[in-house]
Amino acid sequence: MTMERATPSPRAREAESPVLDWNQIYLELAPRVYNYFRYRLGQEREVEDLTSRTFEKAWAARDRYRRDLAGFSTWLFKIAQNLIIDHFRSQRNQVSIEHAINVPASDITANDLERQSDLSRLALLTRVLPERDRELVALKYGAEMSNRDIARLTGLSESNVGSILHRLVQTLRAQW
Amino acid sequence: MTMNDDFLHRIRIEPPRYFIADLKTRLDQTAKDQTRRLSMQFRGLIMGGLIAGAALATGLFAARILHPLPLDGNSPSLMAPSIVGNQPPRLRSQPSTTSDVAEAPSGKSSGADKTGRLGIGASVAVAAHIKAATGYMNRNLNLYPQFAEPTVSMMSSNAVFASLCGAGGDSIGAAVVDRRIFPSELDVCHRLGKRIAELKIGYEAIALVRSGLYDAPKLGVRSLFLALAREVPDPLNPGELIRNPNTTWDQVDSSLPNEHIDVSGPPLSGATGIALRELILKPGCSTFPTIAALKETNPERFKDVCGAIRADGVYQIREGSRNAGNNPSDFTDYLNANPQAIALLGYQERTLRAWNLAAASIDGVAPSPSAIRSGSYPGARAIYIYADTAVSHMRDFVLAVWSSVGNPPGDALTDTTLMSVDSDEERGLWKQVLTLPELKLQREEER
Repeated sequence: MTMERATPSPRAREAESPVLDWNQIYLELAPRVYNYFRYRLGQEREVEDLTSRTFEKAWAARDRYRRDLAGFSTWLFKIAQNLIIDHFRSQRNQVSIEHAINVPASDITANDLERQSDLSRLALLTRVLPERDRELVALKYGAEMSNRDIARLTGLSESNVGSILHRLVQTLRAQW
Repeated sequence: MTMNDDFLHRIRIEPPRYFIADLKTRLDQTAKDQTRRLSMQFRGLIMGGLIAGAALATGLFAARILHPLPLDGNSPSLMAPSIVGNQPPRLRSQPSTTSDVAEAPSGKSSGADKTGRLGIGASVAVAAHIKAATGYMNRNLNLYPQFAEPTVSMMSSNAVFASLCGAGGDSIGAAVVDRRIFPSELDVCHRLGKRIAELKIGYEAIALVRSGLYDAPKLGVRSLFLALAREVPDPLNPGELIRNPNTTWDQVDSSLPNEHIDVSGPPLSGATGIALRELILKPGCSTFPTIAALKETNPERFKDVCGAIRADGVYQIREGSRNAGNNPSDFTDYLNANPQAIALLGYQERTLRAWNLAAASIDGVAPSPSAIRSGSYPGARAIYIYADTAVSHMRDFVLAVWSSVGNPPGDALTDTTLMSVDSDEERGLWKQVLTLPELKLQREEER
C-alpha cells in the first residue's frame, strides 16, 4: 500500500464524503415527498400533514446520514411509504368518491386547478390497479425517482421496474 | 392531452410556499431542540462526573482523617527501610490551591437594538405583513421572550437605505423597499462593517376593476391623473394648475366613453392609496412637462401636485361608504348595479376570479401575474427586503415576511397590495431565503 493511498489528501476526503447541506436537501426533497403523497392519495387533502410527519421523523435522526444523501433519501421515502400504509389502514372502509374531488386551496392558480383535475382523473384510473403498481407510479412520477432508486426501495429489479412502468403507462393511456 | 411520461410528470405541482416555510421552521426548531438536548445530556454527564469526583475526594479525605497514613507518606507495605533511624517527620508541601478555571469572557450580545424591537424602514406599506410575520414567528418558533413586533417607519427609499447603513437618523435592522440598493449605498454599509442581505420578496400591484358583467376599462396613467388628481393643468392655459373640473371620462381622454368618473377605494393613507399615488398618479402627472419641471425647481410642490387626490366625492373612500362597504357582497353588488363604477384594489388574481371582476388595462397592459412579473404593467413594481444579518432572529424574520407575502393576511379586501414571486423565481430564491447570503454588487450596476 502506498503512502498516498493510505492518507488521501483532505480535498480527496472531502470529495468522497461531503457534509450534507440540509437546507438544500430539504428544498430538493420536500416537493418530491409532497408530490409522492399527492399521487398516492389522488387529492390534496392530508398531503401536507403526511409530508410534515415524514420530514419530522426523518429530521429527528438525520445525523446518522451526515455523509450519505442516497441513504438518507431512500430512508426518507421508506418513512413516507410506511406512513401512507398506516394512513390507508386507518382510512379503510372510509374512502369515498368525495376524496377524489379536489377542494381547491385558496391560492392556487388556473394551471394548478387543471393539474389537480388531471390528478383526480388519474386517481380514478389507478384506483383499480394493484397496490404495487400505484406505488410505482407515485414513486416514478410524483417523487421523480430513478428506476434504480425505485428498485432499491421496492426490492424489484431495475429492469422489472422499467417494464412494469412501461406497461402501466400504456394501460393508463388506453383508458384516458 | 396525450397521456405519456411527460404528462404524468406535469401533474406535479410546487408545494404551497407557506407550507414549505412552516415545515422548514418546525424542522429547524427540532434540530435546535435536539442540539440543546444533547448539550444538556453532555452537561449532565460532566456534572455527574464532578459530583462523583467530589464525593470520592471527600470519602478519601474522611478516610485519611479517620485512618491516618504513616507520616512519611508511604504505605506500610511499601515503606522503605529507614537508614536514618528516628528522624522527625517530613512535612510535604501542600499542593497549590489556586484555581485553574478561567472565567468566561463577559461578551455582549449583538444584534438587538436598545429597546429590543427590530426597526424596519419601508417605502412600501407592509405593516400588515410585518404583523402577520411576527405572529407567525411567535406561533412557530417558541421564542422566549416573544419576538416583539418591529416598529415600521415609512420613508423614501433613499432615506431607508441611509438608515439601514446607519448614516442617517435612527438605524434600522431591515428595509422593505421598491427598488434595489445602489452599490454606493451598499458601500456605506460595508464601511460600517454591516453585512447586508438582499431578497426579492414579491411585487406590489394594484388594479382598477369593474364588475365582470361589463367590459374592462381601458385607462392610462395620464387619464387617471386627470381623473383623480386634486389639481390638473388648465386646458386653456397648460402652464397653470386649476382645481380638477373633470367629471366624465371623455373629458380626460376623448377616446374614453362619456361616463361619470366614479372611483372608489380604500383610504388613501393605506397601502393601496400609497401605491396609487406612486405607481399611477406620479407617472401620470410627469407626462405634463410643466409639472415634471417642478421636480427640479420646486420638489415640494411637485410632490403636492402629483400626490394629492381630489376630495370632491369623485374618489369615494370605500371604508364606511354605504354603497361599497367592506362586505364583499355589498362591494360586488354595488359594482354590478353601477356599470360606470370602478374600484381600486390591491391586485390579487384570486379575488378578481372569485368576485368576477374585470381589471382595467393601463396604457394597454392588463394586469396579470406574468405582466406584473415582467414589469410591463404600470400598476406594479418589484419589492425587496434588505436585512442586517447581524440582528438576532433576522433569518427567521425574513422567512416569515417572505411567507406572509405569499399568503395575504386576512380578507383580500383588506389593504393588501403585495403578491409573491412566481414558482420559477421562488425556486431560485429559496436558498437565499434560508441562508441570507451577504449582498455584493458590482460598481457598474449603479443606476
